[in-house]
Amino acid sequence: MKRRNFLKLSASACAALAALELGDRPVFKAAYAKARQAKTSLPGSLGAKETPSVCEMCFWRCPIVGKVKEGKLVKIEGNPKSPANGPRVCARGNSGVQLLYDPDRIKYPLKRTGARGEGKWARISWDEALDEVAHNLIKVKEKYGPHALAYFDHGASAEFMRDIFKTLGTENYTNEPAFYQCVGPAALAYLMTYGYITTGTRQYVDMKHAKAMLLIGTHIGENVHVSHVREFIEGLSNGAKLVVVDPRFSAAAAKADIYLPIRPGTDTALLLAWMNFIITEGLYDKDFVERNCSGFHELKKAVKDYTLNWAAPICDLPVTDMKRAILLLAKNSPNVSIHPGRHSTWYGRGDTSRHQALAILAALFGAVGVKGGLYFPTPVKKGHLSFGCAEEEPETPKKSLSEDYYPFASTFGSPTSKIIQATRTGKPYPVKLWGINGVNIIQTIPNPYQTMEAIKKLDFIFCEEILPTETAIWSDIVLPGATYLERYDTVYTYDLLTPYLTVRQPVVKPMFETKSSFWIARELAKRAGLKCFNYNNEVEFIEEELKGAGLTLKSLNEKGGIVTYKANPYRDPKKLKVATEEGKIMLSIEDFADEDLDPIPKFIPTPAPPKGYVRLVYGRSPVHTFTRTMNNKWLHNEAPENHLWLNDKVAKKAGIKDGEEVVLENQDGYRSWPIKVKVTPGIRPDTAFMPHGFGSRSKLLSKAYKQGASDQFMITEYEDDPFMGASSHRTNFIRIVKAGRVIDLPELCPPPKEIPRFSAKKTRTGGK
Amino acid sequence: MDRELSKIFALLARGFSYPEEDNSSDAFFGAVKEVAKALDIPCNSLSYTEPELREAYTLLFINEPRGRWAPPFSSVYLGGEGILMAKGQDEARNFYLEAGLEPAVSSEPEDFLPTELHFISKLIENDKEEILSRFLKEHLLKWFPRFYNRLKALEPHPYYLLLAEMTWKLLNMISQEVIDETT
Repeated sequence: MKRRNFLKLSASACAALAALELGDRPVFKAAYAKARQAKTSLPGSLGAKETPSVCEMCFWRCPIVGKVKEGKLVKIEGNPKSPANGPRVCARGNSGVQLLYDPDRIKYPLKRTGARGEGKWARISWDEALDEVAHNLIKVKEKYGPHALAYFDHGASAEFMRDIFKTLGTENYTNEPAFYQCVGPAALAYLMTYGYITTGTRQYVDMKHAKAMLLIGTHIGENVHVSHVREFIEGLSNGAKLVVVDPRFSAAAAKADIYLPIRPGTDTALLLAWMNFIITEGLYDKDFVERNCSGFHELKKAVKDYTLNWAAPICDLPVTDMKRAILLLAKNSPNVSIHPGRHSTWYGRGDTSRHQALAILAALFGAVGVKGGLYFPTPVKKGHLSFGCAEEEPETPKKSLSEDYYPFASTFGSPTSKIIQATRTGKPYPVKLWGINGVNIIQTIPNPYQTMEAIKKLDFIFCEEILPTETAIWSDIVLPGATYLERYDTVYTYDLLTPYLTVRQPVVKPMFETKSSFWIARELAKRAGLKCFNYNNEVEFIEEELKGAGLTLKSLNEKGGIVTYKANPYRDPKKLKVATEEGKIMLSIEDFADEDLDPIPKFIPTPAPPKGYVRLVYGRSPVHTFTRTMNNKWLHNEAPENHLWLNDKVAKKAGIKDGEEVVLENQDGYRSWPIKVKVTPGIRPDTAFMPHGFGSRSKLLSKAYKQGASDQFMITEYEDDPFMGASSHRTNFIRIVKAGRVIDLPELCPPPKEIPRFSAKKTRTGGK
Repeated sequence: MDRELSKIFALLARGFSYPEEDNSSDAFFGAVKEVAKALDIPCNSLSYTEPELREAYTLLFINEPRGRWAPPFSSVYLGGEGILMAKGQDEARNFYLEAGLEPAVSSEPEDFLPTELHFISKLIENDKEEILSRFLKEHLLKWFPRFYNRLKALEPHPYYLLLAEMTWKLLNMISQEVIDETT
């Protein structure tokens, strides 16, 4: 190349260039001969290197295999050796590739340069980011005491950082929306009734072998967990009968033998009436109850006035249908799956009781420890880890945000509503620093307006995030987390019907400067001067855990990354012993009575919609997880936005057509972003439904931003569950705004006198 | 001349890298200004602080609060998927390997704009005209104009607009020459 004369450089330009030292950063090196070899001509994922790992597109955690070619992930499949999902993954599992390579990802540590919520950042170094977080943790603790620190977390990898908050001595070291906005009431009810968490992350219900199943508000098929859905479908394929109770004709309802479109908020009335019916008709399993249950006589007395005739107007269901359904379940007992539910934070008051009623119904049928019923976990042995962090519970403050408000809250941490209240008001003590990991709190916790108001009052807020969510935008420091495809986590065991042990391990190198949660927590602990995390890296503690199972990482990988075990889910009903204090299934819970709570469920009505409004309920899109996947290109293409389900008769009277775009206004005057209406007979006239997770308010999520409407931003009214402090999500009401005009919705199912009507503190129109 | 041209591409590569001491210095700005002058691109005095450039860089090339940013990765523009590590990455990597090179340890994907500009610098330095011609024609010039247009539409910080204008002009000049020569 000798002819570069198109550019005339002056002597001073040449001198300036010559003086520059740009060569001290090697950008390129000589390629190894191996790398230089011609590229493989095999198409697609053929010839790819396969690494077994564990999915995290949702928290069911299916075993997967990542297929990598030239350092690039080209395909994800189910681990064929997995007894749970086999070679299958769901749409989300397939789309992990698009999370890994999403250009919107958080790539480097970021420091806020604009106002909180503005999302203006500058990239900083890891040293600077970690030092700043550690400095603020110590500063806030010294100034206000340890309890001024609060940690919102979700998922296994967030548990490392939880240890830092615990070691720093705050009672608020875990505030999991997974409990307070999801499984908490159900988990507590089953823990107290059966002595183990029959429903939490997992649901121990044997649908595969059931002769009949009952789903109350559970949307299997819309809420996709591969092995759970497979068991449900296998059960149906084997001829199981299905009863679905739901105000909406869900995917599961479409497969039901009996579908009961119940009035929202009255499920406990139905369950109490059913219990009374099977007791008075002698349809319960007398031997099982006598041998294995405690509190039957108290239960019998407590439910005696709840008849089917009493329940009919409350539930808005015909007596004949209710009777048909319970007779169908009774006929097939004890092999009936009374599904315990998962997401249970619906109405605040009565949520724990509703799931307690479900737990009792299963026991009355003797559907426990038998094929088709509730079953017991099969623990898989692995080595115990000692990170060297604080193991004892932190000292409780004078007034606890947890147990002083809700007697059973401390089982799960501190209720999110109380953390937010304390942050906003400074009472009973100030909370001044939040750490957030694995959860987009603004789109998860009711009343996001209050959450944002609380954040403005903090001295410091940081998060570990993968995508620039609303929560990241409100943070002072954002730590870029590696995705599940780029990191190790602890050894993972599955204790359901097909037990196994596997491990999450990186299938590719972390992109940009993202780091694993363990690395971040360990570095942070070091900088905060905490003696925590005895292991230098993940492989060290994984080997220790595997040692307890007689394995090494190498031997596990040689076996295809997964080892299976024999399940022990069933029990002889004559020798049943459960892990409650009495060793029996508790039909009446004295621990509740000791705290002035109902030991046996009662029907507590939740207020009916105000005139002109319908109740807003929500559910899942089968291809999305929470608000985490809406920016994923493949999943976005499948379901880019949500629709509002509105009853056809209501829509006709209100002049709303299918597919029309409207705005929702809730009882407090807050308005949604535009959403299209799906007009359908498949929903009750007093109810509207929308899938959760859409309507992102983060402009940094280029695909998810403003796509559909957020249910969370319509949930401004909530009540706490009096047992454990979970906050309600189905206590809000909407009407429609079309072309700027507010439309009151007609009332076609007026509530009976037993159900009071909601009265807003101040109902106002529009503008928010 | 080739030595200087190679250095100019190395200069642009550093310019499009995250601002640190060596690419936010008066000496660096001085060299940028001289090259701009040679390219007939008007530029006033370049006097920016490192924090100012860091914020501007983050907003344009990392994450931007209004969702208006110009990802400096060829994969985002090539292949229609709009994601990282796609067609652009494969193309860039194949060119690097063909030239006997591979990126040294870096946290960015290999189709990062500074890496591609640095590659041009290396090709000129090593007199690999034929590869350069194809790299420009078959790869860089297929995505850089889209990146450049997107950047211009954002009304970006003047320094990064200047660097982009310089790169665009220089690429046009060099491509005319090398592509004409080799075709």
